[in-house]
Amino acid sequence: MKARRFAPTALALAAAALAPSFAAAKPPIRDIVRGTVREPFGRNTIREPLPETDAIDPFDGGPRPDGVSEPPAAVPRLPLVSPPAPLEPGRAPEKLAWSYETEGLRVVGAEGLPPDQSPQFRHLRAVAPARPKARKKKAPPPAPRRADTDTAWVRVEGASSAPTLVAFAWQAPESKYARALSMPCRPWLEAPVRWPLRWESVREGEAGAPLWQVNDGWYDERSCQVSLERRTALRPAVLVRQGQTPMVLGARDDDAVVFLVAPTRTLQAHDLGGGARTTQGPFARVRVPVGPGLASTLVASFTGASAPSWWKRPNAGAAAPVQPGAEPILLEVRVDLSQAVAEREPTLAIQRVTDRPELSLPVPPKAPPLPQLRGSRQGPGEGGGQAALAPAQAKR
Amino acid sequence: MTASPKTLLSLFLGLGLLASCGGSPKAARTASATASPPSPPGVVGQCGRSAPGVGAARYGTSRSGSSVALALAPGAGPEEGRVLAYVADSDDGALYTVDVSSGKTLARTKLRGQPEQLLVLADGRVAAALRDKNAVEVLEPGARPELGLSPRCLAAVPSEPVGLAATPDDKTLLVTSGWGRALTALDGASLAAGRSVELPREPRSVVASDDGKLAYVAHVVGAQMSVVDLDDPAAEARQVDLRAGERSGAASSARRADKPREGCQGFALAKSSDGARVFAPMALVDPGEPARASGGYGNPNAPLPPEVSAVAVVDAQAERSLTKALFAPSGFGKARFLRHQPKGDCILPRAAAYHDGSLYVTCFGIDALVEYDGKAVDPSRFERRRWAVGGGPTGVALDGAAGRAVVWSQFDHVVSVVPLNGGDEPQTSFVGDPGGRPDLDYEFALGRELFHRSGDSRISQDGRACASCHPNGREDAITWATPDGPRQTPMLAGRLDVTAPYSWSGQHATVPEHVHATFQRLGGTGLDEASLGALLTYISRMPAPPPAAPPPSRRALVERGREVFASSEAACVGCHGDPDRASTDRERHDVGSFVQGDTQRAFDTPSLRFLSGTAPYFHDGRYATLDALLDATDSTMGHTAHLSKRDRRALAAYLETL
Repeated sequence: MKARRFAPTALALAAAALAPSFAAAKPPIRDIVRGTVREPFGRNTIREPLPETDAIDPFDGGPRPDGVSEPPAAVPRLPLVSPPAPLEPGRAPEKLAWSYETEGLRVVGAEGLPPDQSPQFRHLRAVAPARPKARKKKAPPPAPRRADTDTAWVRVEGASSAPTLVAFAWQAPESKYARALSMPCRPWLEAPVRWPLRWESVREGEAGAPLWQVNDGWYDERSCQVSLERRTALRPAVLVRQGQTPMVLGARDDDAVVFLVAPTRTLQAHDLGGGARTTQGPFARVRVPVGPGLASTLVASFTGASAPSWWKRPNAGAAAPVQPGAEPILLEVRVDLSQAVAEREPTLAIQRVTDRPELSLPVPPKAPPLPQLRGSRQGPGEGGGQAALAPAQAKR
Repeated sequence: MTASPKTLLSLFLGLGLLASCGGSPKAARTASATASPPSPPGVVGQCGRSAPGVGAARYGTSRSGSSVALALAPGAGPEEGRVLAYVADSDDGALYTVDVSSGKTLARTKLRGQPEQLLVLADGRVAAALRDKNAVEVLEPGARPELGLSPRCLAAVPSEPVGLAATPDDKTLLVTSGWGRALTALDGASLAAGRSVELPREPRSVVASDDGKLAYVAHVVGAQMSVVDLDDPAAEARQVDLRAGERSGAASSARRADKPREGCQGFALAKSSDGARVFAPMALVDPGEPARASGGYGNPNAPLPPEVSAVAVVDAQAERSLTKALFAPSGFGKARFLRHQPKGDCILPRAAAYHDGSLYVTCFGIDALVEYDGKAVDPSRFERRRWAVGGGPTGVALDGAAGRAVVWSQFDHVVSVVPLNGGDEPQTSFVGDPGGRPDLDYEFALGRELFHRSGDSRISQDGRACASCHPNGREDAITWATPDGPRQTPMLAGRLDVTAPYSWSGQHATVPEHVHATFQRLGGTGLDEASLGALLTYISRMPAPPPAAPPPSRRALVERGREVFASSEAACVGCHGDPDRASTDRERHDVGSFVQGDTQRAFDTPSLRFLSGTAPYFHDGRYATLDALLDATDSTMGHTAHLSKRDRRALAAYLETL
């Protein structure tokens, strides 16, 4: 093949002789020395070049990612704090207020009725061991009870005040959160059997700021009731917003970062040690370890159905679809969290991609205020359970 | 750490050439007129400055080499100095001095070989890695930039020097040798050879840790980064695995076992300002399941394209990659990804630099400078901006004080000055003598452009370029799933002249026929005749690895290996007999290499040319080393069982010289 050589002056001629689309498709390089515009060397004979917009713009004029990298000082350590340690089994206080519904939590029997109205509950109660009054009447001794057959199962779930996730406090609480727990109900037990519970909700706090409320209490198998022992209100940082709506919140302690995420279409989490724990419910809760040498990534997508002020909804658990299905995706978020061994602080890198950055979302009715606790111990946020912890108070 | 015979294979290669090159007559007269100390072994000429303090000085804090390096020419005051860009033009074998502000080419300094990277040393000297001469050349600046630079010395290093870096104390110059697979430490002043450490295949860029105790080395193939302890003379290089598992689907937490992607295109390396992170741009590769036939190269049904861009972030102290997961986007993110990434993805990264929280990467194929968020776990998913630059951007240098990046584009012979703080377009200027640029062969230039062009639907449907699997015209060390079964990528450079027929099964009689079939498998629509001709021109003339003669200490061993190879007992020559014909009989044979997925049992005898740098071996890449191959193929492919240990070593040593 005969090798051709050409000089700069031949370039224009060669370009002109080629496909007519060439000149328009390939923007030339500006030669600032000569003040001229010239075709780049070696590229003048590409007869079917890719349009430069395709080759150079990965977003094709569409939404570009909105990336924010948080410097170490801005990593939301405070006012982000971790909740107190969960309650331990067998240490329930003597005086507690028991009911089928307490703040943010309720017990539901068969057919959605309160346990005491459930036919099964009444049946169990009817055959329950005689109480002192009954013993005075010298009732016949009750038949032996069997835990497998003489048990009604009730659901402990979030009440309507805010989206709530529930967990056994003593049982790997970071990984076992769910929309609701199925708990045994055994009214015939002679003594109370109480299990520590933890339930968490996200709601609107003062000045419209999101409030992460962590409640610790108990479930009693004998009465099938729940009781609130303490309440801790925390202020998570808003990491990602869609319009005015917080979509991803974050809170950090020494060992981990907890992300509270609006109901997602898809949610993936990964961390180097495999310790990422994810729970989907009325909102998603992702806990990833943090520390020197660790890194994790959270990728979530949201639909229009899940985006509206999920955290303000009085009945978010019922109203917001957990898996919005075929709804079009409105927003995608990626959060990278990493800390090299030589770095003193972890770093957050946040990226949000949406084609509707200023979408106006309907604002649902404001959630009712939290009731004051009475006759129970308060959490670290002494002086009112609704008050968020001040940073100084938060350190344990 | 040992200076292995392998790494020293070509240490002294070309010294005769270097000596014959000599310096300029003026330099020779100067050298003879001054009483200079004798040069260290392996060094020709005096490396120290003849006029200390004269001329341009190092500019900025970077101690990593690139094909473009910055210097500060003295002015009336510190603020009046001119920032210069030294450009390594490998086509011209020259170093150009460019005024960054005006874009004007100030001087051309002819080098003694083809430069790959440059590095401005602490005293203003400039080191150039001459990949075709197996040497590092040192020059010093003239009193004025327009005077260019004067050659000082040449230092021999293992075959194909490609990467340069200086330790923070500037006492050591680190050189990586691509074909020689070595990291060599040279004295920063005299360039006397220090230790040479054996490395895995295809080392490229190198950076030193902030304390100067470690060197980090990128590798084009293998998805790995080497870490070399510079203080421990006995330590071997440690490897950091840069592969990442692919995660897809809507699972709340993907618990399935990750299948890590392979990697390729590890040319570049950069270090964060605090030295805590090392960034390794690359392409993550899903070659498919080799035992399952695929419709092309790789798995066409995978949620992500076979090759996607990635930047592995290595925790420098832990020597572990933080980037272990590649997320397949969903929803419109996925649609956007699949629609645009094949066209605009940086799957051919070539150079990198870090500044103020951002990682800047130059990319072949899309001819762009891309800015990534340097604080992300996978910065390639956190793209901030990108700028169009000239074709073939091989290097980038950052001027942090002025907020600009200087990019050298070898294919187009242009320097682009990219404003990092503003929205202005890059200012681009051609580099060359005022009288005009040197002519380049038209077909070769066009073919090179096409060979490296990603996102071209004529070549592939998913954006892959020829260079994706054949970096530098070589091979990616990956075994792909193909319609014919598992196929390891063959090397192209320097191998195509007398090795027809082509493909592992010898299906194609000519290179054009094979290229056409390759485009079809990639889903490309094909090139027109003129473009195809240019591509073939480049393929046939792409630079082969530099010649590497065995060092004197191994010559006897190699000679014995030649005898073993030629012996009737070993029976190697039956198929690999004619070295002039690349040691292949160009016939198909069944050597019992059939594996699940193969559609035939007989394979074309592969060439043994450049065998040492093309591991793994066999069509399915089953043998990682030559020794493993020789151990396992007795009686099915020649005879080696009868050989003594020494003869086995001799045979391997001979094969490595082919």
